[in-house]
Amino acid sequence: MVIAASLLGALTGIATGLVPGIHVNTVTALLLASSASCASLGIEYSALLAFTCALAISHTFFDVVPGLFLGVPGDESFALLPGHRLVRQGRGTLALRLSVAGSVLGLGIGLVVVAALLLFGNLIGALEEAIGPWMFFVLAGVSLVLILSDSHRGWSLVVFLASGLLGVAVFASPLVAGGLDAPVNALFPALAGLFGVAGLLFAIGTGGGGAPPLPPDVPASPTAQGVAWPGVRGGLAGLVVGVLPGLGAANAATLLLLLERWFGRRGDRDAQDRAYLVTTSSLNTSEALFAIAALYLIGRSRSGASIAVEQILGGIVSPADLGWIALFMIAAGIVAAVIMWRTGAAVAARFQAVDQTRLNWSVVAFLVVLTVMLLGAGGLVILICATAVGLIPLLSGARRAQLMGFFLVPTMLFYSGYQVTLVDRLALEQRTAPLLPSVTLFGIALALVASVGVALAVYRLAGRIGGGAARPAPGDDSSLPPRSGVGRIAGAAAGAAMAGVLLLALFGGAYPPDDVGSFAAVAPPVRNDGRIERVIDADTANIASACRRFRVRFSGVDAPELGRPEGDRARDWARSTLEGRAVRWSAVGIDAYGRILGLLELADGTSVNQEIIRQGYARPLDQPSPETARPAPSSSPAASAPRAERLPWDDNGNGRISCAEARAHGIAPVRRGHPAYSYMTDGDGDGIVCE
Amino acid sequence: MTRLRYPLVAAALVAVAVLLATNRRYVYSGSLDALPVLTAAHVVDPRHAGATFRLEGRVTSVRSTRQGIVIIDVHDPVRDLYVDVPVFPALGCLPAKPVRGETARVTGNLGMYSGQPQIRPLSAAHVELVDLPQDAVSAAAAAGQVGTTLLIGPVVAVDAEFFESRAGREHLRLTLADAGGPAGVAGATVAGILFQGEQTDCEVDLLLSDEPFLVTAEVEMFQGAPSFNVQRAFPLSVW
Repeated sequence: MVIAASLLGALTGIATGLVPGIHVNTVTALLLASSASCASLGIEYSALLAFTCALAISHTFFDVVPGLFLGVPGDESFALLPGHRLVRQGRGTLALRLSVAGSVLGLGIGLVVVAALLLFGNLIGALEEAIGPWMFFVLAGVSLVLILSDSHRGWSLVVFLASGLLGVAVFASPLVAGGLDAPVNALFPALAGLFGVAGLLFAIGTGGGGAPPLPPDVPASPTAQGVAWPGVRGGLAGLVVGVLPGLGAANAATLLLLLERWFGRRGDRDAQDRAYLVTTSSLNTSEALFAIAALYLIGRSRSGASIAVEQILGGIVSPADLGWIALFMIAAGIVAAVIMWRTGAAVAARFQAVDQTRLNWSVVAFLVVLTVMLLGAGGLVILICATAVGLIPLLSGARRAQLMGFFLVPTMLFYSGYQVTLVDRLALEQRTAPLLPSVTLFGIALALVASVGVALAVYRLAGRIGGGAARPAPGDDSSLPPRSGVGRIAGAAAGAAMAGVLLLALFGGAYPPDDVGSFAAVAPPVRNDGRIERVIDADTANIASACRRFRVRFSGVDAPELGRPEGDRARDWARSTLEGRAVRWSAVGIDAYGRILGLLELADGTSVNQEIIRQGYARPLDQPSPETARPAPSSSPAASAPRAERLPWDDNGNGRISCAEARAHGIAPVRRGHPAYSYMTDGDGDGIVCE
Repeated sequence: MTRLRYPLVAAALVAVAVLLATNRRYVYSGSLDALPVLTAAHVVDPRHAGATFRLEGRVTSVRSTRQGIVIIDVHDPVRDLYVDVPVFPALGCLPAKPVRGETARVTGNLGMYSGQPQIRPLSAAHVELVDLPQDAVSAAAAAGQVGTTLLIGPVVAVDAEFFESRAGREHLRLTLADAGGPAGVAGATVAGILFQGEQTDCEVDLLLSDEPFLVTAEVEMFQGAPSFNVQRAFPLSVW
């Protein structure tokens, strides 16, 4: 199942990468939301993990394609101009293969660096901790460099601030129920508007036959020496943006370009274009890898995919998990690279035949319908606002990387230490609308089917009304054709719709009070089916259940600590007895360390909790012990007070276990290795007492 | 299309302003009281990820991070739950910062951080303290009850200044007086002090404002006169 899921994830990533305007975060958000229903399908969490990792990597191999061939600037637009120049020279296959080489190098470098970092312990975490107090200045410095280095500085600043203000507004908005905690949240319409719909509308508005047709593609392959260094530098830059908050691949690519300019470019423009395409592709892929590896390296999620991975793994990522994640990524990388390399020429030829304007309209329709169906009118308002902001750099000539102000400004505000004061003074307090657990696999499937259906209909309709259009020359609006009558009507209709929705949101009460009365109908299951995947110690285990992994502390059970002979023996017994067994379990509490307290039952009805105690490998936990008592804020778990020494077989409480007590509890004869043995007297020293 | 850029910038800014306006206009309905109380079964059910719950329990600790996140640990003894409640700076000021031992009621979304469940409040007002003392005494009356900890107010700060102690810590020296009217002062003034490390930025802002407020303070004698050792400050709306 894991192999199939990995393959399916790779293919899905290829599909999402090929469709302009679809961000990998969108797909992972839908995946997380639908995972609630996957338990009934018998899907293991490992399959979901494989799917997510494969998707995140293969998407980065293919998301450059729409920009290269259709002239649709997405959030990967930093690679658009150099790559598109190659395509316009009839070297589309070469551009694709350069991108593949870059992504493969990015994946390889990323894996090597992560492996090296594992050897150095918590190096990245320590670095991040050291940078923490200066994070505001680091991000502000990067932002300033990006703005000042733009040839349109004024517009660049406008784009940065407008997108930043949008970020502040969206993150604090109650328009989408659940805020950013919702499985499908306000980031979806915001990113779709900023980087998807805006670019698509721009391409539609500037399309119309003004650009000359592309020359026939001449397949070619890159040379090893031409891709080596650009791939390495891209891979390393991906580490930086994958670990630092608020920064994305677009920022890193722009900074690399600036560094290259400052230190002097090498080679002619063609060589620079090729090197830049390799660098950006490498950076894109390594950033996706590092964002997930950051879960282990610094204990924080850095992308939509890493949030999904964190949730699937129950927030605990081990080196073994990292190994599996690397395997899934390698498999996906191989699949994506082989497919793209082998089909590059065919893809190039196919994209030359695609009607760009129709495709763009259909993708806009897809995103709008999906937004409305998943997030309602509030989501549409955010989509419209984000699209308006996303169009500014396209119309002004500023770099689209400045749109990363959407993340950078709120992140800088957070790290400034003055956010609470600013929020209070400017009345920007976040208010989140309550969220009902209403997202289901069926609902998402319905939304996707409806969106795809509308998109296909729009594709056909756009063909009948306006016909196709040749691809534009991005950034070149000197030869723009006059807009057609259909375009004017569509523009007027879109404008009217935008005004209507905004007015509705402002004056019409777009978000009436929520009916939370039906919430209780969605009751959690009393018992869950699962499998004990790994025993940590005799009272804690990882359980695979409901497409997730949970670390469960056995309720009412207190096993000896590991490192003590009886603790190790108890763990070994639990491993040999319980690992791999199917269980029905129920969550009955959360302990002081956030661990789920569970009651477990084997398929034959045996209570795991009671059996461990009955076998003598643990004792009942009648009252809070240091392990479950809340630690003092300044104390560590290891510094807890000594535990109560009452033994489960010690009826008279004298600290020793007599044979009478052992027989009364059914544990006699007691052999060496039994937890009670060390509290008894073995007179003849044969390892057995109470024979 | 470049001629559209100025109208577009204006439209974009209007659109963002509309977003911010919708945020400020949002009013929570009373039906939030019908939301279910969080249980462990909800935490492990993926359908409830991000959904909204109520949580009520004893505050076991309160700590702040460098970025200003106030993390409140709440223990619901009925359902045997220990849950973190992170109050991010984006929520603005808490009406009243809880302290250990108080009972807090939180309405928020269920989330996970590093494998631990959290309830992220819908807004700052959704972190409520249910057992605040109801009877406040005037500053003048409190000055006569040395050795007790009292809820005092409404008062205004007629003077406030920061000073550095010999240990290098920055404290806030206050002169408090009973509020006689919307912004007026009535009665004698009483000295007070707020020690560094025991207050949030919001509390300091409140103490430095012209608005009347309430404080909980231990009444002590300092240099022969009553003095309030201020522990917390609340806006009047909390009372």
